[in-house]
Amino acid sequence: MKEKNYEEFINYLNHEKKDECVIYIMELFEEGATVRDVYENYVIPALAEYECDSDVEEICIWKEHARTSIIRTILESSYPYLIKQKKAKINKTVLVACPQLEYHEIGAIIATNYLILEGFDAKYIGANTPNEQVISAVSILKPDFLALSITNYYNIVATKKLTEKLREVDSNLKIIIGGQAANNPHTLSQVSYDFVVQTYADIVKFKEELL
Amino acid sequence: MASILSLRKVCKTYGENTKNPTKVLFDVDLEFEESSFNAIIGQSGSGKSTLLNIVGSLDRPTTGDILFKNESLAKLSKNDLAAFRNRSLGFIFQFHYLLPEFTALENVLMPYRISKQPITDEVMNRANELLDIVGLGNFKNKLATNLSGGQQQRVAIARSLINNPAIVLADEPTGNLDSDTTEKVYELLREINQKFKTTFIIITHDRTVAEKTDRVIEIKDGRVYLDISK
Repeated sequence: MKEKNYEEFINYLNHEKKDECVIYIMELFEEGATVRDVYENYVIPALAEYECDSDVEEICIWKEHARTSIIRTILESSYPYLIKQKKAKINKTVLVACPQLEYHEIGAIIATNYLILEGFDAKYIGANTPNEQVISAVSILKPDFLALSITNYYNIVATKKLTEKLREVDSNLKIIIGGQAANNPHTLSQVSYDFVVQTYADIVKFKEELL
Repeated sequence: MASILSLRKVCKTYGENTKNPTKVLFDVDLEFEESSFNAIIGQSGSGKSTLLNIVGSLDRPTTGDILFKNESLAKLSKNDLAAFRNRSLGFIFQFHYLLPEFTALENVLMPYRISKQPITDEVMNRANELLDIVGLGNFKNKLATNLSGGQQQRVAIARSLINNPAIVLADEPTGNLDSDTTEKVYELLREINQKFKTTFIIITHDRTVAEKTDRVIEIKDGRVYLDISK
């Protein structure tokens, strides 16, 4: 594999050089990198370690959005490699969604792709999904699990109502919670859930416990 | 961080001695930390304004107790409670209740005039400083009626701080403002919270305000339904 370094990739991202970023990651795939390698060593650190070097909040916001847009393209471009690399199906379905008014969806997309890699039949139904739409999808698709990704802690307000309603609609459904808002144990305790999944390792462990 | 205010099993029933008493708060237990920035949300009729009135000692609980810095307010006389309120609490309401025939500066000083305390140089300097902080340094001598809605609310914020309160209680402080002014008022409240370490308890229907606070408490049917922190 060609010698690559994270700093070079980040330098492209910091300057919003989309073509260079995507070519860089595609070369990694062509040289044999796995989807997990790319996500764990490039995509996730690029999102988690982002620090704005401007004091102007507006600049920080558009720069972060530009970075997210590039990462989104990389995630979409990785899908053909994901199809090749995914493990044998395990006959467990997971619906992944962001609750209403939660617009941060990159974590949910990564989680969906990781679940697919591990052999789950995972479907992502979108950011900012109104409660009734999530309930409709659960009623029609009848998944084994619903995974909710919550970044903004305020969206726990809507999530609590959603999970309570889901318990009434489908008592067999297991609810998985992930995302930044789930890192606060007290906040998390306000929601009715069955599992917390934050990382690839968590998904592997979760799968092992199921089988 | 130390606790500044505690609610212990607070219940409130209106019309207790009537045929149809209405219970609006049920065993509310809450703890607020010094310098914290809190939002209370809930539908109309959920009991959140009753809760704020009790926290602000404008109303007494039917049962239960309020502790300010671990001291019970239950045994305070009406006059002592009023003195506590004047000394330790600031209030901001959706409607600013400025007196129209007075200037911005005179409105900020109004709590002193009402309580007949002398307006010393120190007090005058603080009023001027507060008007500078809320961005109205050039509008001090304008009559309240000649200020915009956002400016009037900023005068009300300065007025709530004149006694250097430990806690500011705000009931829909941005409920009457457009979104740009709401953002400015929020930023001002946050700046005051950080500069003076004032504890804020804000009732709001405005998601853009609530999601920026450090803690959200949802009241539903008179009970704490949700209590989340960043």
